[in-house]
Amino acid sequence: MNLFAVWRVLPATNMLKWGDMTKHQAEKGHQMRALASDFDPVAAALQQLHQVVASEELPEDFRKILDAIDARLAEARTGPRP
Amino acid sequence: MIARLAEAPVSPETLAADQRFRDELVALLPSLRSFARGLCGWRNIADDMVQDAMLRGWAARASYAPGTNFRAWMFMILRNQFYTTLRKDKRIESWDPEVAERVLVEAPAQQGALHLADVARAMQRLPAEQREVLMLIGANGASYEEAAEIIGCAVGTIKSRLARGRKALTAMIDGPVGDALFDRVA
Repeated sequence: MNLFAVWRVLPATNMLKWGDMTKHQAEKGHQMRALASDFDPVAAALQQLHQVVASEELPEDFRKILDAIDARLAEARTGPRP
Repeated sequence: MIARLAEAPVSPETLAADQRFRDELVALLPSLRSFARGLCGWRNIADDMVQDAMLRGWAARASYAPGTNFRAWMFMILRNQFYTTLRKDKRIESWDPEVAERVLVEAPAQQGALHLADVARAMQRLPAEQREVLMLIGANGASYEEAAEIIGCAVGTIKSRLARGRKALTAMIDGPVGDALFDRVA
């Protein structure tokens, strides 16, 4: 069965879907081009720099300070330890 | 350094405010660390600066008005800390070819790491006034107004520094302005 024969036997509903899909693809393509023109490589690189550091595990020194703050808060809640 | 946390007894309201302050501080730590790292390029010095800013912020928390911009308040403290450190430690301004490796201890992907290393290296060659604006707005998502508040200058100055910083950064990484940063091949 050649392609023309397939075309002939396709129901009308499929033809409509094909038309909708083409329209959808065109819209999607338009959106992608718009996104591409908005893409800012410097901003993307800077955000990535931020992400690399932000995703690191918090070093032990920071935890010690937070523990000390938490201890002060706990002490303030319950009163100083004897 | 932690001994600076000692203080007088507090009321329940103050205690609740202190707890909120602590929680906001914890949530802000990744941003503070990335800002400091981008500013000075040295991981250990950057972390020391953030720790010092944490302690200074905690010690001065009574002067912070709840409901105002906590992020701007903490970034201001950290920025002041950076310039104080900069005056004392000349290593921060000096160019070092290994700077990118210090900034990026671990990159998520090898291809990304190459590009990020380029950016991190180029960042450290920019003047500090441009670096801080790029880190605040480009990396940490601050608005022009917020950056102006943190740095203590006009919004127009921020825009101008940002534009010059972007132009210089792009030129250093890719040659002529306008070339795509991520189109480079190692």
